[in-house]
Amino acid sequence: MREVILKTTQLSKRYGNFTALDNADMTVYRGDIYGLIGRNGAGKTTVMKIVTGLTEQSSGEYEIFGKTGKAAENEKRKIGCLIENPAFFGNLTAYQNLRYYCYQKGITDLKQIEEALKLVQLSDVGNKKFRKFSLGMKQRLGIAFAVMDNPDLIILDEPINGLDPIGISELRDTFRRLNAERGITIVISSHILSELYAVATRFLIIDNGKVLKEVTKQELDLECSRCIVLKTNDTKRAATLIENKLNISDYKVIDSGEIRIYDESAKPDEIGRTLIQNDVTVSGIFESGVSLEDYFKQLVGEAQS
Amino acid sequence: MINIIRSDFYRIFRGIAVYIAIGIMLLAIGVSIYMIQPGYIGNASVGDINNENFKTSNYDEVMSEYTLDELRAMSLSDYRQVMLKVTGYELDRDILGTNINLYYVFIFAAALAVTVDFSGSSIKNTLTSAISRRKYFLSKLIFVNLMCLIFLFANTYIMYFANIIFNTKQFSSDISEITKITVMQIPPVLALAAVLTGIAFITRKTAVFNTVAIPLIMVFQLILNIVAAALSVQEEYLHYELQLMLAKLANNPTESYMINAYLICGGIIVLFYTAGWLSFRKAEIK
Repeated sequence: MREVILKTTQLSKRYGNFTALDNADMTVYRGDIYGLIGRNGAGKTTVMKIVTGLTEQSSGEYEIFGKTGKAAENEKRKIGCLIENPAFFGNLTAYQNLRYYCYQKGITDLKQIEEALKLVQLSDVGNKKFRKFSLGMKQRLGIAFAVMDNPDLIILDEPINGLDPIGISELRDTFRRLNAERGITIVISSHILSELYAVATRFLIIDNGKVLKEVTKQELDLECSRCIVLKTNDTKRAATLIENKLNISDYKVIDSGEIRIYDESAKPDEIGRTLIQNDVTVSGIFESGVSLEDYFKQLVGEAQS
Repeated sequence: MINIIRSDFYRIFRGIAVYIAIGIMLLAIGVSIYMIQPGYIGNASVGDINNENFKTSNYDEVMSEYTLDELRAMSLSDYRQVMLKVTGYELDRDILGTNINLYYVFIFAAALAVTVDFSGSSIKNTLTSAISRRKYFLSKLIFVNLMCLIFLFANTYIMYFANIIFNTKQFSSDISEITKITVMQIPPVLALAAVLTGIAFITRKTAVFNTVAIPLIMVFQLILNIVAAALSVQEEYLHYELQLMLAKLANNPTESYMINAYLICGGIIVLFYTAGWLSFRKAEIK
């Protein structure tokens, strides 16, 4: 069984009458690249701020490396973070800023600074002060800060904001490398679905403070891939017929009223005819296939209606 | 906590602000030593308290040769010439009596330690690094106190030796006496540090902090004087206000005055640190 690194249970945050986060449940396993997808103001940053201690939850709880409450505080040493904008001292260089945090965290191995700067391609910025950095450079320094001290988990809030396409691509490679080579679990948020899709292995879709869905990449692919959607009130019998009469095995029973058939050779009219001939009521059969964006819009739409 | 304090020392000496603070301190010392009279801000009654010091010299006799308008119109160098006619007095003790000037230097310490972190949001990096709010608060509190004490003692000894070099021993007291006065002034200095740290944790942003902290000492004194006049408060009670307390402690205070003064300082320290902590404890970090 995979180790749970971070888990939230019924986590909520309210500001007066406004609910920024509404009973959010999420589970991050060791080795995940966990993507938080949501529009601006969806509640992504709020989740991150709660679990990193920047704000207190109104209700619910979270667990870090299996610890809750005060015990979880100590576990935060194993976490590297970049929440909202990268914030460093404008009058210090990249090296000096990281040196400052080395003092603070009690890191004596200063090679880690060089390594972190090299990882984000900032080792050649020399004496340039942080205030003169471009937004992309600032983001990269934020990531260097997060990965310093070899954390087990890094939490990155919108880390690709302000980066150019090449920078985004490089960062994507960096995340994959950190995940694969160092075994670092990554929680990353973005409102750019395609970018998150390209790097994450599991997803939490959130909107208006509510968790809409938690899915693996495989499940998401399945949800978005081309398929035949069959609506019937007897999914059990329909599934038997699909398998035995039509020899289709690549299908999935979604719920009590829907079956999705992914077999590319399957034909909707043939399936419909077979089911009707065998007295199975078919209330609808159609081909489907949605983009990630459409899938997200669909989920958000369902939640709002 | 030591790590946070070390990191702050590493950071502040790489910025210009701390050197501006040191510059302000040196300028105040320089002007006082050149004029052979302490320059001070705020309430003139500080001078009244320190007048005891002049009774041992011919100060009044020298000054009686000039009208107040003449003295005011004088250039710094002319004023120095007049003061050199004084047979001597403990200028260094008098300068220590106006140590409220250091309040403006202490503002730098509180801003550099606390509000810079909030204004630049770099506090997020610290609080997400397994450093609890309590540890952060205590570290900043210790750091500001340390900085204020460093400024206090640096001010004392730089002033003491500069005074001997430029004005000769005639205007100087014993180094042990100067050290004793400085040590006696530690409680009000720590109270000032608590006031500023408390305000820094309540306001959190540098601009707001400066708007409150810079005029505070003068506005407070103004209000105090108005209230005291309205309620006919005896003048001796006003001597427990921090500015006058610093002056009084430099001028042979009585034991009972010291005990009362230190109790008041303790109260101010507890009040402002409690207010700062309560404001920060559950604050949303932006």
